[in-house]
Amino acid sequence: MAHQQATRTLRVWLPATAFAAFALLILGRLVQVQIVEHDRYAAEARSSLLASDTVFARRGSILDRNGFLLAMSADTWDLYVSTRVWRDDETAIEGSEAIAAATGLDAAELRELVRASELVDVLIAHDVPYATGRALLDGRPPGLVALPNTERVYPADDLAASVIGIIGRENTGLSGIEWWYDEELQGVPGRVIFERDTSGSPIPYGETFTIEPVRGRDIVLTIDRRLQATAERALTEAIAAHGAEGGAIVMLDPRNGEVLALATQPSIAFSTLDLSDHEQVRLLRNRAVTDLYEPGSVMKVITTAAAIDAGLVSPATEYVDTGVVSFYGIPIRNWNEGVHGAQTMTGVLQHSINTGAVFMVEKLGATRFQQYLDGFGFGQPTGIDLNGEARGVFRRPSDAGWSPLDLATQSFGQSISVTPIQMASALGAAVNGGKLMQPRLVRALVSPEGGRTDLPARVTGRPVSPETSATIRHMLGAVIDPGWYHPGKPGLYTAGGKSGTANVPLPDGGYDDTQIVSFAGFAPLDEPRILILVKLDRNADLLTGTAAAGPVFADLVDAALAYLKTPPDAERVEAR
Amino acid sequence: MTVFRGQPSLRAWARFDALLAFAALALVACGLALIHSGSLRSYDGPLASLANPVARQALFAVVAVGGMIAISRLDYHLFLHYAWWLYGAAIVLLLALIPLGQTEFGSTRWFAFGPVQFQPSEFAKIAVVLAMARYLAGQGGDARSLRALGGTFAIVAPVLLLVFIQPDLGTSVVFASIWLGMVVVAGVRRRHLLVLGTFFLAVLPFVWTFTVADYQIERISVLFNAEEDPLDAGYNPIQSQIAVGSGQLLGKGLTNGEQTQLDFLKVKTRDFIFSVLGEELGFVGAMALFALFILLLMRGIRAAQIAGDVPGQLVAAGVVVTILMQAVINIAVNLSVFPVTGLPLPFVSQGGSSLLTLFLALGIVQSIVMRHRSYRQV
Repeated sequence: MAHQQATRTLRVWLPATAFAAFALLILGRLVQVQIVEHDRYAAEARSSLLASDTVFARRGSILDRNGFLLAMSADTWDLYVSTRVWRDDETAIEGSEAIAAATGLDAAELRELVRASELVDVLIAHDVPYATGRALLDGRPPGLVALPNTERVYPADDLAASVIGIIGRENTGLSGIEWWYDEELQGVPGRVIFERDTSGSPIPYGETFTIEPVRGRDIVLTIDRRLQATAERALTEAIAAHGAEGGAIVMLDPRNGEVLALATQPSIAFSTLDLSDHEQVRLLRNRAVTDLYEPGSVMKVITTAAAIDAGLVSPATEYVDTGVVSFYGIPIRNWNEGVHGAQTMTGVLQHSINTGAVFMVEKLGATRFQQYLDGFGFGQPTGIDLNGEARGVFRRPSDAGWSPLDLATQSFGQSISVTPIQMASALGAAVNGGKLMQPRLVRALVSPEGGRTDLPARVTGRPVSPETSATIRHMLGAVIDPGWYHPGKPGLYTAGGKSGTANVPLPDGGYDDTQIVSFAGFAPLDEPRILILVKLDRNADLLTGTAAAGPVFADLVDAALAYLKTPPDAERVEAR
Repeated sequence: MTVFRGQPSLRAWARFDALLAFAALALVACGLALIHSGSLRSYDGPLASLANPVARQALFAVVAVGGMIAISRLDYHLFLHYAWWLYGAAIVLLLALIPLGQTEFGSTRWFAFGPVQFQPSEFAKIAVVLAMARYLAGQGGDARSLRALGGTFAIVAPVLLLVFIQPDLGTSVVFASIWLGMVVVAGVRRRHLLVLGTFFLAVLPFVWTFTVADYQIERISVLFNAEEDPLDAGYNPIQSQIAVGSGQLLGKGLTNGEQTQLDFLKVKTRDFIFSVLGEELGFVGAMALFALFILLLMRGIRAAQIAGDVPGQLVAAGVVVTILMQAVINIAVNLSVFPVTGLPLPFVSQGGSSLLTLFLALGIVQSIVMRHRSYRQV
């Protein structure tokens, strides 16, 4: 190879020139990124570094009207094990033994669970009591990760479960009071903002910024725990005694609409709650509020109140019952095919005479009767604070397919559907001086600092005059105390009431002999403090409302008024 | 007849370019610090262990510096003499990659011998530089004739093609730069370059359509809008920009960068080591690194200028272009002005075969510097 003398040429600087150009380009870019726009990139570095978690506030408690706890949230721990830490056998044994000793779980099973899992952290126990978890954490078993949680506990067990309702995992109410007052109970969840790495885990000793959660408020129910327990027990016994499929007992204070007890069967129970069971999910409603039935003869109270209020009849107005009345050519008979001859309006209620109700509604006419039904709140929700309230239906003269027969049957409680709470509320208006009170389940909200907000009673209408109401009270008193034996007559208190027995409408519009029986009444007679509606569904023994539900009513009046420290009626005490 | 002159006399050692060696070693030292910071999350064992990437890199550096000194003792004409053999070997190795190579991140660039990886394209860079120099020397020392220019093209094209299909866009660009740099230094007609440049621009659309892989197009398009695909193709550009940008003027301090330490940056001891520098040592750190590369560039150009003969001049120029072009591309990738491509930052990035090749190339440059007077006298 020939060695050529190299010429001193400036061309060797050409690559250097090119690199100088590159260097300037890069320098320019560096100045742009690091000096000019550094704030933007610094901010981006922060934001890709930050993550946040929701911290739920402690959910408010639910108390009965006297302050007894029905539902409360307790601090618990969810325990996880980091699978990576337990990869080492010795560590796994040490960790699992410690956890097993504190929680009663099986150590070998724990190790197997963790080994078999492909997750980074495996949930091994949900809602471990606070003290147990705290003690376990103090021992620092390797691999244990504990996340704080809260658990809803029910100190009164299953009492009023279908009123209280349930909450879900995310601390939100799913049914009942928990759902209706979710916002108040839940408070405002807080946030923790923390520095994280690419896996999303907080960095130890990283900066954290916390927005404190605002605690939820406590709810004071109108429900009285003792009356609720009494009502639930009475309902269970009555259902068993009469072979019924279910039922409801509504107990409310007619003066202000406060629901003192609301028992329904079937109902969810906290102790056996299993949401994988479709049947139980269907029960996440309070059937006294959501389910419709035909009230039957209880409705005659409303018809009578309307006719008296309109000045068309008085309790002493007489008419002659022939057992059948021809209404636009259609014969309407009494429930037991009985013939009662000459009767007063009080007698119509005492003997529950269908033709008597038709007599009154004929005088009222379709339009006026409908105005009274509207006035008593039928066909619209009462506005009670529970989920899924049904409005009830009845056919109006303006509806397609209405016939005068509808008017006649509605007067004794057929072809009109109501909820138990709606019926109780309407009866309350008939006996409390004529005010329709909105039924309600919550008396007050109590803030975490102790401030109490009482919820006021609401008058939603005045369907009848106080005079009419007083008249109705005495007519209903005569129903229970007719001078002969009546199963609905309380032993210690004066009272009034009316039974109802209605066939269950079939889907095709006809009826079979399955029935819904009920008895609704109030006590004491002159100054009603309590209104009780007892309803039994499809009782197998086919007893009437008076026979099946009447005694339940009588017993509940005695028990409830005694508990409410109402002095017994002197005459009745003496008569004993 | 081949005569190898200039057994290194004492005077020759006096001509050893210590500044050039210093620049390279300073870059390595800088690299060790950054590798330490970048590997904190993945390695927490003892310092003096072969599992420690810092210790490994230091060991490689010691071996590589030894190699540089050994090579500098040899006459560079020895390598020129075997240039065609070395070139042939490079072609064979690159071909052998196709059936035998290790595929990583979708690209086949490596041979694996147990724990040791070897990247033939590293070796091919030196081989191409030597072959080009040898060829041009034989053509009268320049590429002014169309035949000589065509010859250099024929040398580079097969290697470039083999690297391009690996696929390795960055190294392909390095080979193209070697070719351009060396023919420019040797001397080429402007007319020829213009025609070639025009031709290149004309075929670019076809190359683009038929040979550029989808992922390469993605990587180019995310340069203009990385947010288009922030978790895939746009991820590295976004994270490296955030790292460098958030480093600001003075940096967050070594081992204190969140982007680095919390694993937002990937391959941070190799391809994205400049982002670690940018984040933790800031604009000032980047300028210090620039100064070292500029020193390296200047000493390399000086070697080309004082080289005793044409092949020495060309080899020195070729080595300078090889090293600096890699540096430019790597830094450009880190600053999102060049599509992501797996090129290491010379002397700084973790990696034994790269370090070894770089120091061997510097050894050849030292040999040229040390012997420039002996050949000048011919």
